[in-house]
Amino acid sequence: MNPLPPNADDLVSAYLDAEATPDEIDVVESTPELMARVDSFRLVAGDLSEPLTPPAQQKEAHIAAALGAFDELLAGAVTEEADDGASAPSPSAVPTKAGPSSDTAESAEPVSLDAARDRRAARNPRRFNIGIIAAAAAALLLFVGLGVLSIGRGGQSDDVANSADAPIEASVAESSNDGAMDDRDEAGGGLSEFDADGEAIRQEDAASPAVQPTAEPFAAAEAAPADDAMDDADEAMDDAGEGEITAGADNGASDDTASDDTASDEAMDEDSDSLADTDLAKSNFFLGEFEQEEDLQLLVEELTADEIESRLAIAEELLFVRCADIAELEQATQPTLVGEGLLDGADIEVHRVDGARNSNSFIIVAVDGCDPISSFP
Amino acid sequence: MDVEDRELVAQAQRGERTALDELLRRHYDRIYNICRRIAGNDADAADATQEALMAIVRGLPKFDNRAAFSTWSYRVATNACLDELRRRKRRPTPGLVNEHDGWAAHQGDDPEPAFDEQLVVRDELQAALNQLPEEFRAAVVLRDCGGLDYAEIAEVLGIPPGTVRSRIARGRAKLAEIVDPGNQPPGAQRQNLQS
Repeated sequence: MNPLPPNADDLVSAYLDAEATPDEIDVVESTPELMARVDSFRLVAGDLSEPLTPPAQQKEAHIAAALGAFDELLAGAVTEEADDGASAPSPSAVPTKAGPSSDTAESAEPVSLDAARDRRAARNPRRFNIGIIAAAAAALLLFVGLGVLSIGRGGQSDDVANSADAPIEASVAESSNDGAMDDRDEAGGGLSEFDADGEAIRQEDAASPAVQPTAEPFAAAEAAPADDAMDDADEAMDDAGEGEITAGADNGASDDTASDDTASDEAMDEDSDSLADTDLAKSNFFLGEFEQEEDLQLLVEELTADEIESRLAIAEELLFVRCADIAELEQATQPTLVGEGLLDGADIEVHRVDGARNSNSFIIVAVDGCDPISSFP
Repeated sequence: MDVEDRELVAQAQRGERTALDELLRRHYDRIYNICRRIAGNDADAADATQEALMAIVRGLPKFDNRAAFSTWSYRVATNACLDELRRRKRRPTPGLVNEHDGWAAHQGDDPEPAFDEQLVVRDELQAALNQLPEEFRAAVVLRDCGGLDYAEIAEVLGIPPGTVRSRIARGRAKLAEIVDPGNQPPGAQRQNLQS
């Protein structure tokens, strides 16, 4: 007798479900043990396929509740249209949300996502950005190193002020390190181009004087919550990034060091441009803060295919995915992280679960423990 | 059936309540069966079924007929059930089972006895089903209760068809073994089951 194939149950099961290939069918039908196994599986499948009758009352209650939600949404959609001036009545009346969280509704026809994006922008809180902080830490190390170098050269810092008076070619506004500090400086304001969305733009505008030479480049930092290490880095990066700054006495750079600084400033500025783009992308990657799962789900479902692909690319390139190893994603062959956010105060990741037919399904995962919270749609 | 479903979906998307009512009634029993088998007990099945219907109502405007309504609604139902199971897991004890361990998490000492203690097991088959890891259970249920083919199940669960085939096979093998302990898998497969 031929030995049974190692995937005997696979063959048997596929045979039973008419999903086996002709070759597999031949193997099964020519092997009595496998045919016996087919009978065994058929018994189990037959038992499972016996329908269970739902309680009639429960069925009616469930359907009534669903229809009630439908009515509510319909009413909400009509109200919303009226609120919008009813200038362009939608041919379709079914909104996209149900239940208690249905404060907004949209028609089934393609609609503008502007409102949803506005809501998203409004929700997007500032975010502690690991990448930015890492950049700030690197800058801190760099300047500590330069300081040590300066001390090592000894006695060469008499004309510190003169040397520091020299303009330094720098791209102030593009400095991601300033941005890093600003993330930390939420309470104190300051440059915020790396903060999330609309608020960032406003603050960037407000902070534009920082591009100009200023006698108090650290004012914002001083107003911020104390964090000595970060403040040091902030100051260091302000020195590095802002041109024509009259250095304070606490700047220990010598002439030689200033020359070194200029070189490193240029290199840093080049990096800063890309870092700025990077950090901006990271900031925009944040989905927002949500109290209800439904709101988060709605937001994700409203993302266009292009937006999703863009987000997947950002995550792949720039972010550390914390919950990539969960069972639901074990078959993933492509990046899955679509966004991060806060749900009821807890860090979450939203992953795309690739469907076999290119359809999108998503899963919300609590970062703490990488615990799946929900899948949708 | 699907053509009629399409028409009902279109009508419901235009806001016709009776169409939605008909659509939900038509698929309720199957959705309930899927939820009942996956959830493993009446209470959770009821919650999951209700959630599924609500999710269908919410998602209907975006349903684009790429898949059959039945497939899509089963997908919604399956997700609702799995979510219900996850919520249930989070509820009882701070020491959660690591579901990522898949099959292994369900072998030997069960780290979450409260989970199974909550189940009201009606029959032997359901008891056996409840012993399967969720992902295996869902695949088997969608096949045998939902009548979906492998490609459809793959779409519902977001996994490749090959994985569906494997999960169904391993799930059935385990069920057969539990329901009839004398029914052992073919020799080579036994080792495969333990892996």
